Amino acid sequence: MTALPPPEAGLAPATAQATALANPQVTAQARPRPLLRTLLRDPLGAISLAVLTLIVVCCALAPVIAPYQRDASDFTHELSGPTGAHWLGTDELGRDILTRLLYGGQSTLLAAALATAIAIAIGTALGVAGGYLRGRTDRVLTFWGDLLLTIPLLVVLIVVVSVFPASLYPAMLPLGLLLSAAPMRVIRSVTMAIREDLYIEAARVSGLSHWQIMRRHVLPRIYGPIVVQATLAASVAVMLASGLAFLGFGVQVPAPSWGTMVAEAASQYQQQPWFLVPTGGIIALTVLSLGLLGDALRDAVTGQWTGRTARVHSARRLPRAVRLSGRAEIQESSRTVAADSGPEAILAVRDLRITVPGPRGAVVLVSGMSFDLLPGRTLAIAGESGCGKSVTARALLGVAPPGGRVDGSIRLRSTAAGNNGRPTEPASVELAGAREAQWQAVRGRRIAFVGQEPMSGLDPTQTVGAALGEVVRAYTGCGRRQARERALALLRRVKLADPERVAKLYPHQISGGMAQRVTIARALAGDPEILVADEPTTALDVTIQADILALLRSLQLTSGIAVLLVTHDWGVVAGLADDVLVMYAGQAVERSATENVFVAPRHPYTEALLRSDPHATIPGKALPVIAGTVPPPGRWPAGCRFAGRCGYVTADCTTAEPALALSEPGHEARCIHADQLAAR
Amino acid sequence: MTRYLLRRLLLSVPLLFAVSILTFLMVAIVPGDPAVRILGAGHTAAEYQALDSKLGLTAPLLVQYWRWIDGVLHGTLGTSLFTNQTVTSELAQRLPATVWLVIGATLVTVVAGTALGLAGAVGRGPLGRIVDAASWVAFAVPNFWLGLILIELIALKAHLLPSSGFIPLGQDPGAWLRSLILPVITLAAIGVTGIAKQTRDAMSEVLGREFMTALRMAGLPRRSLLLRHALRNAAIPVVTAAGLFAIAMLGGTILVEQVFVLPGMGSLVVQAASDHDLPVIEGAVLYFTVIVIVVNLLIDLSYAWLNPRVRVTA
Repeated sequence: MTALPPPEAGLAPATAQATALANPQVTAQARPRPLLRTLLRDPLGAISLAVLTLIVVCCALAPVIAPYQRDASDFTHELSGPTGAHWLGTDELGRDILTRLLYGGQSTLLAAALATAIAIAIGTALGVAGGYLRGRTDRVLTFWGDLLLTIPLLVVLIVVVSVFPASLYPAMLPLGLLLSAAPMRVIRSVTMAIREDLYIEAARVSGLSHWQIMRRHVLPRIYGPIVVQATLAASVAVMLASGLAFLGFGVQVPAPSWGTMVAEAASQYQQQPWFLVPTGGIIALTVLSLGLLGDALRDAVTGQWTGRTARVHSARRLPRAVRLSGRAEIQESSRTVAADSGPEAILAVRDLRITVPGPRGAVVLVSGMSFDLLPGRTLAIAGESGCGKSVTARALLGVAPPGGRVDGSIRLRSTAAGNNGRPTEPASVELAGAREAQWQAVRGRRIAFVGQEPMSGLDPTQTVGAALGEVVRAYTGCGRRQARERALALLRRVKLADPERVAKLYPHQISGGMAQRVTIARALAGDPEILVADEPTTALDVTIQADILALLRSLQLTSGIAVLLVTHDWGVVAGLADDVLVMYAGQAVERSATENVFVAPRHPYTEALLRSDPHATIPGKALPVIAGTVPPPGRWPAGCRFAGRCGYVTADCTTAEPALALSEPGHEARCIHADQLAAR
Repeated sequence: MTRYLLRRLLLSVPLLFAVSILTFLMVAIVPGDPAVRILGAGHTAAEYQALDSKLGLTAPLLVQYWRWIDGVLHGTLGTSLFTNQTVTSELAQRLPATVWLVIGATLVTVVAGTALGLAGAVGRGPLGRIVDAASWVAFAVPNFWLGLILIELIALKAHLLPSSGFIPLGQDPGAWLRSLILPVITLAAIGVTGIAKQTRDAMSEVLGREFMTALRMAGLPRRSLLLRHALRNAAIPVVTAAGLFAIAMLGGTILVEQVFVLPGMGSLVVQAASDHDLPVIEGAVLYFTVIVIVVNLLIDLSYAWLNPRVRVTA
């Protein structure tokens, strides 16, 4: 007798083979063995499985291993606590509690197993049918499931047991039915996900019937969730079967059951409180093992261990600037940069280094980044995805990747107001290592951010007007009405038609282009001196891209704001940027005025990027691509990081990492062959 | 919005019918004969027969059901086979204890659960793990057993609170509150920890979403990030769970009322079920179902308030 179907349940070898043929990569997952092994590697999972097995086996073997006869009374020891003769004590008639718990477990566990089996059978059948067939079937089944969830379980059960007062088992049929709603929901959504897989599509095209596909291809892949749901249903069933017995339903004295024994203990607790401990304890232990087992199984099935959710918000303090990078070239490069950074820079970044924790020590994402932002000018950071552009941009607002740290120096020029009459005030403040409160005074108010996905940058539960009003109030402390006026003014400023109407809309009701205008309006709300725009047009349609770029250009003309533009699109660079910084594998490889970079790139990577720009292709000719891929962080080669993909590579390239050096006035490149490129 | 609620309300009509028919059928095929139980053994068959027909139990099932529905539509639920009181007046006496119990447990569940979950998601330190462990304990401990332990420790040993009984609010508000504390804790235990876990998971998920980073980069204060934005978005799955817990607790009242000897609908159902008192069972199940429908409507309302997508598309 078992309350828990073994993990292998629901998977016949033949179906595993069928799946293996249709979809080779699922076989590992579809074979039961690894799941059991993964489960056993989790201590909680292994312990709960062991405890559960022990309980089930002992109850099943009660006639063999129980120390006493089921109903044998020992009138010399009534209501005794635990003794050598009666390990768990005796009840009011002097019967051995351990013996009766073992016998009582039989009816309780069998009833629970029955209800679980019914719940899982119905839930799986309806869940697979709804998730696979979709359409009307799915709608009807979903409604049916919702209906089941709204029926107060215990009330119905009591009505049923009053019909069949002598036994718990008949009540397990409706209990199973009512419990099937939860597994049905889960299995439906899992099935829906699988349904979209290519191999199911292939099976359909190859002429298998829906029934065959569901049985052979869907079922074997969802046995994991099924087992998880079975343990959860079983825990509820054990609890309810005990509850019913506690109320006196479905039992025949003197036959014991766990719930009945709690009730007996309750009537005796004045004389012997101990009686409550083993009787309630065995129920709690069984339910706990089932719950923990279900949890461990879920982890084993999804391959995720609990507690691994990234907490982006917690403890995000940037550590104090650590300048011990230990690399000569970085110091060198910072010297060259420092030499040409004028006092007019509003933001000066030096030796920016961003690391995240990896399995084997810290992984460097970005290193040795140095640049200045000037009022009224736009600096573009260009490069392929994954080169560290976005992390750099976010670091300027005090946001590091989860668990990561930012070192180096980010100096923001002090406001003119701050200098008034206070000559001792430093000309700039260091933001690297600043506390969250200091960052808050800067974010939005002095440095604003516009992200790539406008929709995911807005709180879905807030109207556009409320979102803008909230930041306005946070920046200025003004009243609601004033904030509303200002919000409308901002919407007009980003040239949204009918701002009154837009202000009342939620993010899901507006288009991507409108949403991006809204995030730009939000960025302007604090009259910032610097705007960091991270791929502001990438997620938008082409025509809307042009509008947004035009808007950014006109805003910069009217406000004199400094813009840091992150992009991989040379068209955007050409249209907006005064200066360009090209990044490759976490470092700057070239920097100059936009025109210089376009006309005469000094780094082979820039040259290759420009050549592969779709804007510049000749119709009919294949688009040139850069062979190979960007090495991921942590796998950067010694020497030049681009050497492996470079057409100019020589033996010298791989010996030492080149420095970012002046190649001509105002034009830096990190390449020992820069002059060779210039000569072409 | 009104249309949305009306539609949800209409959907609950089939539920009412389904539950009442099921109950009726199940109790009607009861092997035991109410007349035997009322009169006791040792009477002639004719006497039992006479009582049966007086109680209307000899009519075909469909007719019995029709009479019952007709009564419901006219606001009467029949008369108890045993006490000769009308079912509505019996239920009216029993309603307050159960309703206060469920309201109290739901409030405790939502308030304490959300607070604990929020603290676990945001605060550092071991609180999250403590909530996790407590959730498992609360999940595993049968509430009827927890109630007995609380009675033993707090009522009988420490004499802090009454061990049983219910004092109506109108009679003595202080005693009313004291009589409810232990039953509410017993009923709410599993919900509090369940909601705490749900809140913590939902908060972690929302805090990782891009819009939270965007709002943080817009310079909003931490307080409003957490409470106005994260909690509100996290509340949507939490409310779903709270609704399911409220419905589960409605069933749980049966056990809790039995343990604390509260004169509520749960103990009435238990009594009526052992007596095969069909009108009372039918009436109680109807009341329970209506409460479920009210809970579901409240959930729908809070969905609409929390999630503008529901509000607008409805």
